[in-house]
Amino acid sequence: MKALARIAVLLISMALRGSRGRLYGSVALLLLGYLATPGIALLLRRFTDAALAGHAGTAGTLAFGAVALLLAELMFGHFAHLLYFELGELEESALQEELLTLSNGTHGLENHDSPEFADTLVLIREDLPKTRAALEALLQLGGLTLQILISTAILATLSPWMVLLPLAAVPPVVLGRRAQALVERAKEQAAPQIRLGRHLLALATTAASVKELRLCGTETELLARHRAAWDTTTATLRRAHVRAAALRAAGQTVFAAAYGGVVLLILWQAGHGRAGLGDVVLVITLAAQVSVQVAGALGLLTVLQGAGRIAERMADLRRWSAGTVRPGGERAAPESLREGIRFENVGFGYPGSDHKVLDGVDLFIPAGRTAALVGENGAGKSTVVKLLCGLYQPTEGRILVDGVDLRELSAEQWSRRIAPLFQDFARLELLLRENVGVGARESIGDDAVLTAALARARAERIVERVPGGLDGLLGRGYGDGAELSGGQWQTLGLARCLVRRDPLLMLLDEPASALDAAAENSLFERFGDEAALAARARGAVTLFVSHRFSTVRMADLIVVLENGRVLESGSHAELMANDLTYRELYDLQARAYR
Amino acid sequence: MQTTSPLGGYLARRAHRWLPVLRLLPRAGRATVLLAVAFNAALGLLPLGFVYGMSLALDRLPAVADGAGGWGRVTAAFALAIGAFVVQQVLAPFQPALSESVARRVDGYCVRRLMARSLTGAPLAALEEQACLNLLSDTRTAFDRITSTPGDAVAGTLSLIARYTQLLGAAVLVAVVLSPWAGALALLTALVIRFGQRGSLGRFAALWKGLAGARREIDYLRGTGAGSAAAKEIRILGLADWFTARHAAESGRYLARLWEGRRRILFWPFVGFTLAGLLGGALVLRELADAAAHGRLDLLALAVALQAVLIPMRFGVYFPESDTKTQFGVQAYHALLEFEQLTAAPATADGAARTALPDGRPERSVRFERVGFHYGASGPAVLDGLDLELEAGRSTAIVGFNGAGKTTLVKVLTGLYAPVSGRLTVDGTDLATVEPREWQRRIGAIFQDYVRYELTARENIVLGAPGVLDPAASRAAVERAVDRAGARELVDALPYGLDTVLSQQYENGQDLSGGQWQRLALARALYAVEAGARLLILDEPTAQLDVRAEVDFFDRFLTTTAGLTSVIISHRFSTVRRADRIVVLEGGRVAEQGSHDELMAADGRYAELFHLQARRFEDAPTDPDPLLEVTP
Repeated sequence: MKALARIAVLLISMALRGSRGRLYGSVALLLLGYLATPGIALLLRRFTDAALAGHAGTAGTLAFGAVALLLAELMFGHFAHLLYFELGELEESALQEELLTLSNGTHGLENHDSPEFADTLVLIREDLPKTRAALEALLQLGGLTLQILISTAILATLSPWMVLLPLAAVPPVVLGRRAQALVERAKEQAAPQIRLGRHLLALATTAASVKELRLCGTETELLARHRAAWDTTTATLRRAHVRAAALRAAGQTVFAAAYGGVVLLILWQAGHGRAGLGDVVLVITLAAQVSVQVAGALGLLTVLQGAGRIAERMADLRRWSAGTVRPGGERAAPESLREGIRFENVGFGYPGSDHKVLDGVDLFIPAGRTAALVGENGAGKSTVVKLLCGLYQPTEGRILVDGVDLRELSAEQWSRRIAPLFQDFARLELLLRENVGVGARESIGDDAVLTAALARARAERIVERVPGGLDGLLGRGYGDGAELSGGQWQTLGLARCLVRRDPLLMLLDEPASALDAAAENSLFERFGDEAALAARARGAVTLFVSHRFSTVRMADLIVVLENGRVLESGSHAELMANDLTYRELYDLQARAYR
Repeated sequence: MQTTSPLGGYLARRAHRWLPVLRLLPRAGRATVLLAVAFNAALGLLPLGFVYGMSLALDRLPAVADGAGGWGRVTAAFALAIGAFVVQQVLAPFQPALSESVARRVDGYCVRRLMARSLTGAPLAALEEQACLNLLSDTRTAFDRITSTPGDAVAGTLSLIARYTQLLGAAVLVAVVLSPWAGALALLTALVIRFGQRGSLGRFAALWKGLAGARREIDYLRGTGAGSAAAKEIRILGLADWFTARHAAESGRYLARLWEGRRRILFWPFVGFTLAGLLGGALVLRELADAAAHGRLDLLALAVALQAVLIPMRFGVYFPESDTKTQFGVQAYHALLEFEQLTAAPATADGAARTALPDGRPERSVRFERVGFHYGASGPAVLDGLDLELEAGRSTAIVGFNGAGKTTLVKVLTGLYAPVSGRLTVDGTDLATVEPREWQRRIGAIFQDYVRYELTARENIVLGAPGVLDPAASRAAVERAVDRAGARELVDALPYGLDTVLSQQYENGQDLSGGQWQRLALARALYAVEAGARLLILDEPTAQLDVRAEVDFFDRFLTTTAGLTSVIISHRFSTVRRADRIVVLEGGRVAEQGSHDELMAADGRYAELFHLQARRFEDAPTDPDPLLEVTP
């Protein structure tokens, strides 16, 4: 009930702020539509009495009134939905934008690594499209409740016993829920078969897998397996559906019996002159609907309770998001680096976990130098990168930029001076100019700046190839955009990185795993040019993460990480002389070229 | 002579839409269909039984009220009415169960048809076209029960029988007790509202569908802007506001279009339907009022007419058991039909009989003879007069840049694509004259995007060549393939060994890492070899392996494949140097070929690229700015 109140408050308050006219209009139309139902029964009673009394004029007028109400009952809900759908769509849009800010509007990244946050994000993204349905359910629930109350009140005027009729509509609902649970259980029971069926269907209808299936001669086998999974699922579901139907039928019988009692009661009263024929007509038209109304209202309640989690989850996200807003430093980032970047005994662990992802990391990258990070998956390479970007804050120790603790720098200012090319850089399926321009937002509309960055990334041929050039759409996720290869996307990612202004930190995070040797060389070369320029101009530091040792060896400083600690570090020559892990891995790769 | 009336055109369109779906009816099974028809007819008639019973009770009531007795006759009529009511209430919940049964049967048929076409009939190239991808995605979404299926459409259509039986019955009652024209008018009013509404909703559905692109774009902005994937860049580049603004603009444009269309399609026409209903209803009820007030109707007739007339007046609402099901189910079926049309196999050009291939082939070699290939009708040439001989019993490595045509070469070699020009021969026999299966069962392959079956490890291996070996031989062959692929350790670590399902989404299942999968895929290809394949093809087999595993793989590779004809595709030059022969592919042709030593001596492209890589491992004097030193 609390969830219900929360979602009601959220939806109505948003409506009052956003568009009162739509709210009032749809409420009025819905009320008229819902109240028409008891009105029809009342008019038909009087119509029957008037017709039997031979009052043709009155009967005619009442008949017209009844027709008008019948159409109100039939149509006003439709007219109301034109208004409240718009309202719901506005509300969803606003909530989606809030979600965007909550998810990615703060500087810290910790939330995204919390499974709880990630799950909530996934769930709320499934929930939010139901905003409109939630608003609809809320408004209809109001109308339906009123309708039930008025219908019951009218019946009560004939006999107090009739007040009990809505109660008889409860068993069908209870049994109906059990029936639903039965079906859900069967679905869960059949889930592995359903999943397998989907998997096989996907394999059979995807070109990439079809080629292997044909080559291996798996077609018949696959079809047979799919058929078996399908038939098992069908059998499981059919049993559940039949049993569920039997339960529902039992519930409906209870209501039908109560309805029979009510009708019998009014017949008995009429037989004893305590009610008119019109009253009988009233009861049979009104009472039969009570079951549908009660079931409808309880159904809407379920919808709303489901949607009620929207309010709860948004509140959770707001709380978490507020938790990662940094007290934040105010100091501006330096114009250029003189000394370099230093990690002092840096440790990092996620909140609520004892495990240290990084532990006692000391390292120093002098201004104008290049460092490479090496290590197995899970060694802590990406954590170092995130800490350096200010996306995490160290839980122990500190990171100094020219002697100033990164915590004291303005997070926004520091980010501005980072030029990153991540392995999973965003392939934005938007306009080409946006893809590159987001590197420095003011440049999105600036063709000269974009063209220059694209030229430095040697992406001119991509621009020529994309229909529409800078204004061409990329990707086919939703539109008819140009399809790019992995290497071409990467080149645009590089251009995005190069459009950054005056970077102090150049970052290249495992960029080349999908590239062939020549493409990899070329990427490093282009990135290296820029890194060298930035190093000369303002002492910028370059950090890259790679598992290709031919690339790694060229760094001034190589840091080998293992289990969150620095295993060894130094220049290539020093590490080779150490004759430890670095040398072992290096030799393994180098062997192929000797 | 092609003049058709607007009505004729409308009917033709409806028929074109509905007939294919109705033809699916027999797929539900004769008995089921007959049951569904009878069931729904009963569901429609029972409310009329109630109306009649209640009317009878009302008719007999005045006698009781007057003290003339006859309470028994009233209760008998009441029993009839309430009996009909109870039976109707008891039957109604079985309608969904029956619908489900119909839908599952029809869908089972349709989904098998879809799979069979995609697996066996459709040309592979057609499956990769965007139009086909869209249709496949639509039908798959339907069969996953996310939207309605063709079976739902059939079931939904059967459910309509209940509605229309009731409507028709009510109209007949009105016609009998009041007047034929009143019955007809009541029916007409109901149908005008119903079909008017359906038509409008259909137009709105078209508008909705037309906005799908805009919706997907907004969805993309939401997913990217609020998701985790781009979280790092959004923070560092400060993009949250930008995404919000972009979303607001896009969403505003979308809603403006949606609202304009919705108001246009769903407002004024509905005002019209309301007025039509008002008019029809008023005329019928006026007739009723007149007849009753002037004594032309007895009490029984009045009661029947009054209750019966409410049925058509309340008819024109949305039918949840049918409307969306038919609307989207029919769409899904048409997507299936369209897919079948697009992938209809082209009539075989030669018509020549395909022959079998003698056992033991290839004995000498597989030859590409001036093979040309391009995608689509006029795509750029991917293979361009390719001449290449793969010698039997030896290993050949094919290297080249991204886009050199390596993957296409594999598709042609495996007979999945036919050469557009030139020919492929096995010991001199043109493969165009050979039944593709005949050739393919001699091949064991790992593709770059090999299939990860959500089945047991054993099944994952056996599906490399299912149904070839008997169970005992198959078990032994699996064991050997596991050993040869170096997958023993990983199999032993699985909780149920080879019988572990390789997906955590199943009970007792377990996920594998990319490297582990790759070994298993290798075991699958080697199993095919155990089952008689003579040609082993490995397309980028180490793409997901780490340094140690990659070196280990290639160390093992030559011993594993000794005596086999093997082809290995790679973009890393270092990994293939020990192959008997290395072929450098460039621009869809062979640029050079030979052993590693020969190619190094020739000092061509291969040597250049090898040096490029090797130099980076050489202990050259340190450059002050090594990153700048790399040559293109």
